Amino acid sequence: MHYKNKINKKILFFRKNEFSNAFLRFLFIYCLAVSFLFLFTMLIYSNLNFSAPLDDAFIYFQYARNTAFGNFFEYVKGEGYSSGATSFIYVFFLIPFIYIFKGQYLIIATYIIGGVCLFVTSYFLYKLIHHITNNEKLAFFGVLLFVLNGNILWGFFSGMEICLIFTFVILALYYIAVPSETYKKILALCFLSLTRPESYILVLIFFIVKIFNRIYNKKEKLLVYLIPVFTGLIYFLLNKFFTGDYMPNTMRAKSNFSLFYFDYTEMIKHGWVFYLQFLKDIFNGGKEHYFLHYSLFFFLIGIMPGVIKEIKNKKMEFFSISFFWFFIGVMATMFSSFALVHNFRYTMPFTIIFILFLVNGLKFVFDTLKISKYSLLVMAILSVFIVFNIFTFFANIINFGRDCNAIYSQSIQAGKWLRENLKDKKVAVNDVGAIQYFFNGKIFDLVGLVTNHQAINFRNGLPGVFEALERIKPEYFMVHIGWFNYEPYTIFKKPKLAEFSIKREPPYYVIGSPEICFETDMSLFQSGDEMLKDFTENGNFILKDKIDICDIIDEKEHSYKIWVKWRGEYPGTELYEENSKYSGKRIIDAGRITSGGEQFKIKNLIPGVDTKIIIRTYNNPRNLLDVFINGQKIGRWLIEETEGFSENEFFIKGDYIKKTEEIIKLEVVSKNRYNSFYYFILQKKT
Amino acid sequence: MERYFRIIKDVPVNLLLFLLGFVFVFQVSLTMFYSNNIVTFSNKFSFYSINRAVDFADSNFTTMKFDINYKKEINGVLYPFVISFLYKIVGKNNIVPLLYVMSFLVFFIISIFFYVVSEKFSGREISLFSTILFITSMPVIISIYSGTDVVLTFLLFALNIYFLIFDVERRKYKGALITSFLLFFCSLTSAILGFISLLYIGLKFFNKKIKTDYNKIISVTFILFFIICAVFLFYILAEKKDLQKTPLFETKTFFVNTFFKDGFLWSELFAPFVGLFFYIGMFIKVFGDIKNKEITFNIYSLFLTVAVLLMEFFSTFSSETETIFFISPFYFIFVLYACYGLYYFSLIIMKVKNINKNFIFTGLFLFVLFYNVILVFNKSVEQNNNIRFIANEFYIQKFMEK
Repeated sequence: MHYKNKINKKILFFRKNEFSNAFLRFLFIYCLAVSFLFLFTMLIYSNLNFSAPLDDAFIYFQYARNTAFGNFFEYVKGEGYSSGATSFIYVFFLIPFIYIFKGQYLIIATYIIGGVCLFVTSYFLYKLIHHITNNEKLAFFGVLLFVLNGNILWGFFSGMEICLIFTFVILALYYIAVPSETYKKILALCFLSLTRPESYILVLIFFIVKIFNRIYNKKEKLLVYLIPVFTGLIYFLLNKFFTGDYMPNTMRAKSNFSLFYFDYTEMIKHGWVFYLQFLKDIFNGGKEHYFLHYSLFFFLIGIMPGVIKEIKNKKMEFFSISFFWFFIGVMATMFSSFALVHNFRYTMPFTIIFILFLVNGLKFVFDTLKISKYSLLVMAILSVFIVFNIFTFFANIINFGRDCNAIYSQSIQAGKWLRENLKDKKVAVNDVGAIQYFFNGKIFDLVGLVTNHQAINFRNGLPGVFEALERIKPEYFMVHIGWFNYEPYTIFKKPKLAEFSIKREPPYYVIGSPEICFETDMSLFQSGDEMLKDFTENGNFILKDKIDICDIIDEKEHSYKIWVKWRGEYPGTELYEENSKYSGKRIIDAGRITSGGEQFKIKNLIPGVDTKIIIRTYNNPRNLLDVFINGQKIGRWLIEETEGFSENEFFIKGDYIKKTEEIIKLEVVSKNRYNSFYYFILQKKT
Repeated sequence: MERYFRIIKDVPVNLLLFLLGFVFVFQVSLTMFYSNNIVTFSNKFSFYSINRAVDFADSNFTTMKFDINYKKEINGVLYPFVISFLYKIVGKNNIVPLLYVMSFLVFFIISIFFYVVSEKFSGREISLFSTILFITSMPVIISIYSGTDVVLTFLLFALNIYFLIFDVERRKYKGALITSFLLFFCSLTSAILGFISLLYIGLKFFNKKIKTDYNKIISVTFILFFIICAVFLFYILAEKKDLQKTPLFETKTFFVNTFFKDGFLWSELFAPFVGLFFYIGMFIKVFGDIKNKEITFNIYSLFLTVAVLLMEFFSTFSSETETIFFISPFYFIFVLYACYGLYYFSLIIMKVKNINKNFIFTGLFLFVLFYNVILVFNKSVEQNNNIRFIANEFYIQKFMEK
């Protein structure tokens, strides 16, 4: 009997291991197969050329290439560090491959990284589900739910950092849930903190949860978890050191909280509308895109009881951390105008937490309804999820191929064309990924991802970018005409040099408009920098200062502010070009429009001397503005209704000028909005 | 009077006051943020009634005109009548702030009635949770602080429900009859609420006779009710000048939610599965009544739900209406049944009555609460964005002058 029990135990153990080994074998073969499948799909759709479904992947390639050869995080060699890589750490994963794969072949590296990450992620997902459900079959089901989801596979092979976030999130959760050495947890959290700004938020959430636990349990470790917190700061500190700004350019270009002007309530509402839409359409299956209908409900059943229990026991651990990571993590990705693009790639990594607890929720329902683990009903229910996933697989392999084709047809071709035709020229570009990777020349990123301090211009629209172009003076443009359409202006008047179009807008692209190359016509650059009308009174007044509105640098030098009358409104930007009615000279100028007012500093003044402020407007309605100097109201400025570019003066008695620099405030009294393109400050000759 | 103070004996008044106070401060603060520190309402419908009240008061309470600035489904007689007296006391500059304070008091009273009704309806275990979900529901908060006639409608409706449950069951009809009749004067849509209440009282009164031929009488009543309601709501809500140009007929592709202004089972206004639990709760309760051939509050709720679904449908015939300003009292019933359905489900799954140990219920409650908070914030910001568009209207501007 004793021997029989021993043998039975051995058989059981072997069977368990047999399953594990078989599972590992299956997983390995599947990950290998699916990596090849996506690689071949890309090759087929791109006519046997290498491409990626996203232009942004090439940004990482460029950073990795330059860094590998000694130009640390330089996007354009010789121009210094720039913070255009969303993921600091992903670049380092690519660097070893730079020495093996040259040029377009580097894309192969993303399939290797993606495949390995898929394997590791799936394996730890399996172990974690097994740990919380104690059910091998459900763990296997969870892995199938994950690896068969076409959207997730699209993310893993997109060439982006998405696969890394998946991996580090599941590793961190695994080591939180399963008793293990502290160093493993810390290591996973350290990697997570460097993967993306949103994943750094996850690490902060973890630390805050630890603080709460420590309040109720003095034995709770705390200080050691400062290691990942400080590790994550490395990227921000590097940014500050090299660029003067903690935040990376990617956040400045995309985050709603980096807009030139915003109300917090509007931004929060904007993000939360996306958030609820996301919960309903994606996680609850509303759009039949990622998950089956009502998946959110099973997810909540799977996570909420555990969260409540942990809170009641005053020890928040695995369930609570997962809950906060999911809900706050998803929310953190929503405060961006790009939140819903590229197959929701910013939010995609959180699907692994969703799947984990979706499975747990299903298990909960099966257990409490006392449905046998292996019954036909369980199999039927689980198979619905798998069948749905299979269709997502088909859908996304097509999407993947089409996206790769679009990038190859446009961005890669454009980059190669530039290399052949404009090798040493300065080119203003959008999108900047594949174009620069294949061009490897002197580019200026109009969006501001890889060109420092440009993002704020981009947030001011075409007018803001134009003012920056007057300083940069790029010789050529290679742009998506849907993003930077300067065709109505002289700047694009020279003949089009090249055009790269796609037949149809690709599935997960932001805008599929043609990519066009123009030589810049700079004849009108700075044409607006002189007064159109003579306010000097035969030389009795001389120019002391001027402010080019919408020129960020000039505005900053003059401490420029703008506001609106009503919350929820936004001051706009405008760009016009015409022949001046005063001189006949053609000018182009950018400006701002508002219902509220403006404030700015005027400099180089002589105290006690009569002064004039000249405003340049365009098609302005009749306006009445209150004028203040240093908070003191000095009069009302009536600006009559005008057509085209017009200039109007306001006289300030010398008594009001007490210092060499004064703060001028203009406040709208009338109901109309007014615009301003330039301010000139003149003083009487002494 | 003593009876009404007895009502609040077991009500967690302090907690409710705290939560309601928080909601009040949030609503007022947000409005002042968007209106440059002026306490105002963010919709023009409220000012329709306020102006009507002002004109009525200025005419020495003799004439109330309905020739302009009148939305049949939102504006009525009773609310301007009431606030005309308040206007006479406090004047033009203080009427809006006073109405905010009145809304707070109304909300407090309604929440007490909700608690008491919920306790009777679903049991003491979940009454507090139901009440919290009710007072944090987005359409409830937005409507209470809208300044429109729905504030008074809601109060009368809550009172009406209380009387229907506690008095009519014991064959005392006075309170229910009075509130039902008053509902006829709030607006044309609230008249439907009053009508349903009277219908229920009538069915209850003739309960014994109805039982003899229950199925036939209830079916006929239901069909007649449906037809009357549909015709009446079409008259109120359809923009009849050119029926072909109504939003419904201009729809390119029809989906299920095309037929409901606020989504199927009010999916636009609540967390994803709350509508489902409402349906489950109502189904269970009504099924029981029909099976036992009873006329209870659940039959009233069924009629009310059908009427509100018709309101949702006919609202798609109008491009300018805002359902929150006339349907919201229904959410008193909606949340009641939804919480019951949720509790029923969680009892089956967890088999634990004690809410503190029923983690399914507590967990789902927390999620719905979290969802409510986000919805309230979003809708409040959206509503307050209207202020800048209506601020220059003459009939509104005079109340916004500092």
